[in-house]
Amino acid sequence: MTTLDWIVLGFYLAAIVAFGLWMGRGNRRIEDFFLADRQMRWWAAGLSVMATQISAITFVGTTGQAYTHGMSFLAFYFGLPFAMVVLSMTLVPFFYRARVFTAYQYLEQRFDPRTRTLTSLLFLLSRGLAVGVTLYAPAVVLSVVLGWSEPATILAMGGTTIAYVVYGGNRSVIWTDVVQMGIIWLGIFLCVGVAVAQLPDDFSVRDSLAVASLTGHLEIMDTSWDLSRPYTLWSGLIGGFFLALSYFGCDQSQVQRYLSGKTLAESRLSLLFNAFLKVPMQFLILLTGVLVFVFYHFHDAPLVWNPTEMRRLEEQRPEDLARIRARFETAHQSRQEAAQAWARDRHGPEAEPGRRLYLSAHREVLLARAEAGRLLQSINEGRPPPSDTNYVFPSYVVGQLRGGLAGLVIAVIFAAAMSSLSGEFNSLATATMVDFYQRFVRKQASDAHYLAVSRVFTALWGAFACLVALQAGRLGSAIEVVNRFGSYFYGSILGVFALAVLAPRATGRGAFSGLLAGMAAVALVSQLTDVAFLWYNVVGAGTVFAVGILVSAAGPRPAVPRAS
Amino acid sequence: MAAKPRTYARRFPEDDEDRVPLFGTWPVIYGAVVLCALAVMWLLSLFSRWAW
Repeated sequence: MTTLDWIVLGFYLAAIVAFGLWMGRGNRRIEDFFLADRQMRWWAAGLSVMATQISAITFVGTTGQAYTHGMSFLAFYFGLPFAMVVLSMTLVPFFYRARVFTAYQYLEQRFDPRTRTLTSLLFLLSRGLAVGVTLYAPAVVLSVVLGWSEPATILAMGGTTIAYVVYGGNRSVIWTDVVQMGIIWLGIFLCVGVAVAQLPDDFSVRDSLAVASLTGHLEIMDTSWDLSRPYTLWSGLIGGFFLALSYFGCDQSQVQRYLSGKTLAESRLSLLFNAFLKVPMQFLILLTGVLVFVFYHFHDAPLVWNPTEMRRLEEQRPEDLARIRARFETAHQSRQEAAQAWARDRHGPEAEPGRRLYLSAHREVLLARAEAGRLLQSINEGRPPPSDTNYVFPSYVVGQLRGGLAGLVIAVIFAAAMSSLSGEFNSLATATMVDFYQRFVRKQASDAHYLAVSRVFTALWGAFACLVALQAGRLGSAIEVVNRFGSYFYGSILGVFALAVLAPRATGRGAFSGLLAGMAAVALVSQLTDVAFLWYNVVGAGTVFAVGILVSAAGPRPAVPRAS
Repeated sequence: MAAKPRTYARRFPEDDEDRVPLFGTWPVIYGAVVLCALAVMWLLSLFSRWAW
């Protein structure tokens, strides 16, 4: 990073805080603070929905994933456009007409207070813990790449976000999200452009894609029905559909973005906007990773992407490292020559031998990296080293981009992190205030009191996220548990909302029993089978719906007709 | 005099069900989004299988 890069990054952080504070002025009531007075246009709410969904680790991890495994991850998003349509037709009108602050408030109108309390509590538990991971995961990568300490990186991201969300609430969240999405899109195009521009003169984009297709990096449509494979066409379409339904329909961090729409049409359009743009955006991010993969055929690539782990190898096992490095460099050189030769002759008779030569050299590169991984594991006393995938893209940015562009792309990664964090702080504070404080602590108070307490809740959730992130390094595998925690009941919560909208005879008792049964079913499936996590949402939602219908049918008819 | 039943409009005065921004009706908009999503998936499948 040059001085210019640091200036660009510093300017971004200062400017986004100032902009967030300026846009967030004028809050008088919690409706202003939590729902931006329901005055947002579809494109602003839509960009905010998109910005909240894309976190820094999605941005960094997705490019790294494309570098190592190719573009198959795109299948994860295939169900999303269809989920957006279903939500626009069903839940969005219900939420909008009920004039609710939180999605869970609607469940009290439709079922009973305890269903609302339990679903809101589940949201607070899962999102509250996950927001710490949202902050920690990119911070640990950026701290290594930028040479900052982990606490400094966490506080730079978390502190700046808390500053404007505490003051400006949802209006600040949405308008900073709009700017941050603009920066993210600019960064994506910039990275694609730079990766293409830095290819050798005699190697076209078409040649790059041809080489990437040899190693399966362009394979997107895996039509296998193997339920243990994470990203197939069917897990993406069906599992991804249910995941998107539950995330965009039942997670307050998303619901709150489109509830701030000026009209029902604006709220619907904000989701449909995402239905159009989400898959192409993820395609471009993954394509960036693939182009970086080809780029490193022609430029020196580190044996291990994580600089800290590389230094440990240099210090503790220099002889072994030198041997593996020599193997890696020879293979890297052979792969480069094989790639150029195959790209040149791929339509002639030498295509097949050239393909075999390239794949053999590529395999040798992978084997050298795997050997370095095993060496790291041996000095870690048998523990696997941290995943190297997340370090690929930041290392590329810091090592290869010039003239302030590295600072700009690091700012993009900060923007992705801050846009997720801001929405999450704001939604956690909303659920705490509306679903708990206003019901159980102070039922009647002035607007000024509720506004002040809302700001305190926002600050407390922000501080809690920083605290979890600061301690996350010591939690070890607990991080993975936290990440899986949410997926255990996402589908179940979706099942409750499906009951609310689709089953007029469903009762509160049925919904509550179904919710408990759904979570138990997902826990059993996750413990006893190797079914990929995208299917958990289908299992959870299906169980809640079935049990909810049965229990409702077995019990007394509801005294009050459905609110819808 | 018997109280009037609560009508849809009275319950949801802010509702703007009739205001459709383009394509005339919401079902047509939803159909367009679904068609677009299918077209994107078809293009991605072409991209994936293309003999570069």
